[in-house]
Amino acid sequence: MNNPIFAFQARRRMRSLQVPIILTLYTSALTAVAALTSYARFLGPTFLIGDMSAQLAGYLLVLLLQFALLLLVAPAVTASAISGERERQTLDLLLVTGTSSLKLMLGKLLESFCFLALMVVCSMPVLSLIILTGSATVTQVLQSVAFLILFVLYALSIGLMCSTLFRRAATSTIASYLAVFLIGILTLLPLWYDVKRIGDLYDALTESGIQVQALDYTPISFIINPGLGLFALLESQTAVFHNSLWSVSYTLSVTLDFLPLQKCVYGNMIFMAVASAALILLGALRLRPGRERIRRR
Amino acid sequence: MIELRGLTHRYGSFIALDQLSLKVPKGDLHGFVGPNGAGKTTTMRILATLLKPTSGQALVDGSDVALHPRDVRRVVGYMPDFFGVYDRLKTWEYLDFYARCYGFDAWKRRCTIDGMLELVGLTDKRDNYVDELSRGMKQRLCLARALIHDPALLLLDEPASGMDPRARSEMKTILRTLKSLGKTVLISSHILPELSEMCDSLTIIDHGRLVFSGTVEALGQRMSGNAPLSVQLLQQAAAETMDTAERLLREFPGVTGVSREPDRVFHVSFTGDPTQAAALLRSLVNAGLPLADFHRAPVNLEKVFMEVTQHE
Repeated sequence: MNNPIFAFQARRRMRSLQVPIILTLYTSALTAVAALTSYARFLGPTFLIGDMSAQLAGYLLVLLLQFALLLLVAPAVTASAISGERERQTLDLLLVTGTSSLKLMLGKLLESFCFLALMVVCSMPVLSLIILTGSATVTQVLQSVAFLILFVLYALSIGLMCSTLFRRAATSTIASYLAVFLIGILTLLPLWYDVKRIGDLYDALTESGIQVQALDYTPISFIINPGLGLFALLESQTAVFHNSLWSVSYTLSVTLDFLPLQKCVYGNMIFMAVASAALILLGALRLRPGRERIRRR
Repeated sequence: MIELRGLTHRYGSFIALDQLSLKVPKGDLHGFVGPNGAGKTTTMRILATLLKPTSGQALVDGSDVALHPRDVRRVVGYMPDFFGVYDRLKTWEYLDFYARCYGFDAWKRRCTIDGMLELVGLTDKRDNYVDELSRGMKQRLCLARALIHDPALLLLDEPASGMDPRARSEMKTILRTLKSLGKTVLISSHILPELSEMCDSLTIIDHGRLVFSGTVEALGQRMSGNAPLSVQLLQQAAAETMDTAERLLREFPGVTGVSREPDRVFHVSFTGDPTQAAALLRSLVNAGLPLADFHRAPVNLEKVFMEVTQHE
């Protein structure tokens, strides 16, 4: 790859002790969950449908845990990428070399992305255990991995954008977590509108005597919120949330089977990719030489 | 090589540079002096394309820094006043990274890195980690980094700050080598005597305005008019002779003050030119005074700096 920042950062990161420690902790946590659920199954004297659902729970738990861990790690990985350069007073040295701010941002993003993608790839043996026990197909696991990888890209881009805004690495790290949290909350708000709209559509169809086969409505909140995107992904693969939604939303529990969940998943993945690109471009614009302000001396 | 035309830069309401105009010819080792907050770093950052001027023009090798920053970056090597280094990185890797940023291929990088390490005297530290180097070595490494793409102009912002005398001496040697290689060097400092020793010419700025620009000799000549005359009589001169000498000195046109010092020395504040000084000497000799010494005190550059920058 012809990006000096990428090669340079990767070399420095791989010399750090953090990498093996994080990878070990991450895979250990996933293995523990997968092993516990598998153990529950093999403890049973005979094969029962209940064992199957226990294994399915394992698949869900592993994916949810991966999502949570990546959500925890990703913003911190890039949050100090640019602010750290400022704090270390090395950013000017980079900018005067003629390296474009976009190249700088892409180098930082790709290096962090490769590290987190390595984490996801390292989790694949754990997921293969789930394939082995038959609770998810290879295609489903690959789809989940693709979703997680795009989610990682999105979270990293948020962290990187925040990193261009602040001088201190600690400040940008806090800001990154706040930004991720706020984006999670704000993108959840359209769900109220979506539920109402879905309910209206469903009611209109049933009142006119049509047997509902599918609802021609893609909820916006399922596109822009990564958490709901994951929900759509898992529901489309396992349909396990269908019965447990009653207490949360009656409308959704009734209509979930008729929603285009696969479309939501792909829409969510496209949204995360586009939003990542937009954040990187904005960060690069902010980082252009000449726009930086310095302390007065 | 450098031309500033009415360069102005503001940070909000604060004027960091106020209509600064300056010319530095090719191959010159030019000192850029001013107290803290005078605008040296701002000027350097504008020349390094890291800041855009509010108004005015800054030209480097004929290219406007605001309009053609890419062209300028190719000919400029910049060493900031404060800079950090990366941890978990060896000395040669540090230089290799910047060489890659300039687009050098592997062969050119290897040759250049070895040459640069030799120039700054860090060949034996090639495989040491950068964060383990001393401050002086880091300064030299940063200089090597600034030189890696063979720039025609070097902008060194207070390169000797925080260095011990040995490291300063080594830095001076390197700068002389660079001058012999035909590089133009703009070097900033707030210590005038330090720069006057090695620079061909100097620019003094204060509050963002130009105070002086010219050769070190010109600065000395301009300021020597204010240097006091030192007049010493022989040790056996009587007290009456001393009184006569003081009276004669006080009465001479251009003398604004006389002070008696130990060892029969007078310090005479004299505003006259060298011809008038010669006339004063003649009048003292004609009066039969036993003169042992008569000279202008050497220019105290630190005092000059304080005077021209109007600081106490």
